[in-house]
Amino acid sequence: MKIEPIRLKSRSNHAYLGFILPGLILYSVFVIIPILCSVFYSFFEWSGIGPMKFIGLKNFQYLLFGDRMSPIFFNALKNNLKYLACVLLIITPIQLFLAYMLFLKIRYSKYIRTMLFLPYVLSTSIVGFFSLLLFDGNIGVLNRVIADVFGRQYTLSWLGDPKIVFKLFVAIVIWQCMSSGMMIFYADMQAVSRDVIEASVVDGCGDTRRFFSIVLPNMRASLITNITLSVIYAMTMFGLPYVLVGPSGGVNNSLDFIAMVFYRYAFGGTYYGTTDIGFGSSISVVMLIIILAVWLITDRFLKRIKD
Amino acid sequence: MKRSYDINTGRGGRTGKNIISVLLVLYSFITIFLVGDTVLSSFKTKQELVKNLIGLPKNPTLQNYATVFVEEGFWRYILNSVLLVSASLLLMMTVSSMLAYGMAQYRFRGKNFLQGYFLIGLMMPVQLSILPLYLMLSKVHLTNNIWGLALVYAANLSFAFTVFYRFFEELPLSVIESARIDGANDFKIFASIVVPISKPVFSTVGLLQFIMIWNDFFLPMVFLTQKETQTLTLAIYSYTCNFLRNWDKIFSAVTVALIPILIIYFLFSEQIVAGLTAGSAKE
Amino acid sequence: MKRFIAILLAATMVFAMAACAAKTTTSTSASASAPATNMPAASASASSSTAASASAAGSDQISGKLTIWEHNASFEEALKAVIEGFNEKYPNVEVEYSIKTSDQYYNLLQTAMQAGECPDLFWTNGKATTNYESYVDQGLMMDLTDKVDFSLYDGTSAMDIVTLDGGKIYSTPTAEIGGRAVFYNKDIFDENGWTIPKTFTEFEDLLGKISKTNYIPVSFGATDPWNVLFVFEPILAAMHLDWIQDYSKNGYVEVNDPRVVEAYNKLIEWGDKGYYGNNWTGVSGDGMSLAFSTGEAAMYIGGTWNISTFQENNPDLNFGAFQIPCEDGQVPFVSTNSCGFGISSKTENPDAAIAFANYFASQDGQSKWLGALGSISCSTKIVSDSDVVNDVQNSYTVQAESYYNILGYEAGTGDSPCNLWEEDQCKILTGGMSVQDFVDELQALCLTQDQMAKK
Repeated sequence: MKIEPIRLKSRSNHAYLGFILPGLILYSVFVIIPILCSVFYSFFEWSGIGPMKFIGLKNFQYLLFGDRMSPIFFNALKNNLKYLACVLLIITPIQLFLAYMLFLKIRYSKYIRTMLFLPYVLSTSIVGFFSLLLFDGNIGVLNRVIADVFGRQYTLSWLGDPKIVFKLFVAIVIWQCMSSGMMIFYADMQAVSRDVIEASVVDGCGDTRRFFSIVLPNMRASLITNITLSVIYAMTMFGLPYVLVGPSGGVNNSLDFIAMVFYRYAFGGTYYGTTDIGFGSSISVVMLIIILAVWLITDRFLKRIKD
Repeated sequence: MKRSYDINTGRGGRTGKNIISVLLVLYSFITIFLVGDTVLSSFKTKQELVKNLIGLPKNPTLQNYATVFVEEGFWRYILNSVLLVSASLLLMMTVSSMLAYGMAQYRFRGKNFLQGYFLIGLMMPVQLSILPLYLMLSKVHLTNNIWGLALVYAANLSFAFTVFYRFFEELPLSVIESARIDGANDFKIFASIVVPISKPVFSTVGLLQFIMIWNDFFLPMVFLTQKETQTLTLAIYSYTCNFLRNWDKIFSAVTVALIPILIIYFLFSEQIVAGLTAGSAKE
Repeated sequence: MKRFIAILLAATMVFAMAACAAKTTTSTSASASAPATNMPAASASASSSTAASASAAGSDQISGKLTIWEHNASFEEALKAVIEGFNEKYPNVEVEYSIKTSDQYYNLLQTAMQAGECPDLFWTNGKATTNYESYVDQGLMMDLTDKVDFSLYDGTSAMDIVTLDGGKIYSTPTAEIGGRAVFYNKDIFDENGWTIPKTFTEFEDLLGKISKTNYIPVSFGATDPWNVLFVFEPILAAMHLDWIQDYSKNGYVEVNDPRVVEAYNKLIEWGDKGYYGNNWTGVSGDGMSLAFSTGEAAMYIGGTWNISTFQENNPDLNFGAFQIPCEDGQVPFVSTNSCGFGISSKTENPDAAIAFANYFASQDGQSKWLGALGSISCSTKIVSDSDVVNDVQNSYTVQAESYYNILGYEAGTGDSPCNLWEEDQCKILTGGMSVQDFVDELQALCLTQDQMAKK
């Protein structure tokens, strides 16, 4: 049943204004204004303090077409898109699958639910420590176990191996972050009408068929939300690769993402540190445009699916 | 009213589900190992950590906890974290749910634009925003103040808004209509009818936002510069920066930091599972 | 409704412009002359030799609050020790410190400066980065030339990093010499009868011997360019001290010289021979240190500031230090000086701030600082009670300049080669780039010999 929001008469307009205004103002002041400031800064050569020199589009030119920056930037963009593909093709289906399993109340559901959620609760610096514990080339647990069981020559350098670092990264993301999306799916599944489900059980409908014909179509809200948010988070991925491999982007830049490139070039390192807010702002403006574009495409696609 | 029931097809589906169940339990051992090691290691002295990083503590000691609580005053940080997160959550949930409800119920041109407008907040790295934010807050003397920071957190409502908005869009109007005919005003409808129906969504969003705000160290580092107003995550972060020197304290600090979150999780997850009358809201 | 939103957005834009424009006005504010007007006679006066006695006279009158910002958590203990010592002399001053993480330090500092909430004292990296000079140019730092007693550093090169052209000083240095050394696990060495090598070949033989046992010869990880630098520089100094000395003699040397390439290739060669263990490309900085402090690795090559980290991490570790020797027996020591604190020109408590700067630059202050850090001192007046520190201080015959510093001195006017170095350094070890390409691209961003001569 499609819901039609009603156009209200003028008397009620004010009530809805009362609902919308606080959020709109708060958001506009604390979120939109800084973004507008960044757009403003991106046209200047500015270190963050002191004189600002207007240079028009030079920052963008250097970023997108410069000999040195553009390979770095586009490599990072490629990594983001690679990761986005993983999110849409691997992570979201897993989230749906697991949410459905929990919905079906397989054995130990409660325990599994808690255990799946627990990694999400850990802050990223702890995850960084865990990766040291597990994956370190010399003292990591994994390598020790492999050396004891199979022999030293089979140990791997994990995060230092350009062939497996990306896959390992996706695995770590799944371990830590998958459960938030799963929870959203799960909550939405709970809201599917009991009567319909019970009717389907009585009719002898199999689990798989039930999922595709009854549960999934009723999860429009969470599907759209989840995919929208996942897409945006995939494009702004920063925290986890930062704790795993540092701001340099990992082995041969294989875990370099555009937010990482931004961080590196806006703030440098303290030891040769020139903070370059002008250039950094231009990177983030380009990021914003790309992410908006990706989101718009996703949104159109989702709208088409909705109908 | 909800009764829990079991969907049991008995058509070979059960073995498949059991295998999946076992696999997931095995998978959970990774988490148990990591978290368990953290907790166990919090009872080891420095010397023992060097030799025995993954294993049971041979001479368990509470020294690390004593250091963390007594010398470093973690009680203060925990309190600050709790205050900050409560204030932020309170503000954010109210503001974003009202915003989403208002937008979902009211039709006007430019709605699509506003949807995108509210998502932009997620697309920009936070480190660039701190300069204008700090300047704004310092003009109203709200830096170094939990309420100032709570305002900033509440303003980052993109995630909460998106989830609420999609959910409210799907709400049936029949219930709202009948309440309005009975003469209730809009706000009363929202508070007494819509909110109770949406409990699972509120719980989910609340829980996820709680975790996001609790685990954030960057904004507190910028805005809460004095030691008294520091939060727990910030304290732990400053330990992990100097990991090798402090590693005996880190384990106990992390264990302590986990406890409030686990409490909140257990409190909220029941809400999410319960589902309640949400089931009857959709047909 | 739509009109209302349009007006709201327009108002937002106007506000935004105002907020962005606000900070540009603060940068042209008062210069360093302001503090001079409210300095009473009792505090540190012009002549350097009487500074100490003059401040003693006013130690009870100096009060108020001080805020200090440091850039790295590894200096927290040292800072605490100095503050303690400071408070013994000036008990009425309340000192608060804040450690900001390295990456965001300058961003946060600049934000605070623009909001008018700059800390009274803050760390900078002196002339090693452009920030120091840029802050001075904007009048954000107090001129310390005549206000602080720097006599501790006479005869050392410690003041180079903080003295601008024209002799003005805006920050205190520290007495720390950040050097590189080879740390070795004494127990493992004794157990196997290994001794400290006296020539480069002996060192390589030692590596070969250790690689045949179960121990990792040198704990090394390729994830952080700085860790790579601190191993590369001793190798360069040991293999081609002449290249470094060419710089000292001629004031210029090419960073893509074949001798540099040879040193890099040696670094890679050792990795291929297994001298860093099997999986060294996946080892982070912390992992590197842990491998040594837990006894998995026999040696660790890196900065001398790690001494106290090792001691804190594993108090039972029995370790010493030596330098990689040259083939002809000379023992080079690659070292750099580091920078201390500058004072904000807008500080509300200039007396206390200057008193603190004086204390920090004094023998007492630096002894506390270096003692807590476990670092090497440039001044003979400060003696350490750590064996390892004394090991390092007594074991070298000649000082050598750092490769990275030379890169900085020869930087051209375009992109900074240091920036490029940080981006690409690790790639030569993981197969992402060849050594020759790497040094050539660095040289391309440096000045040529003629340009350098004109500077």
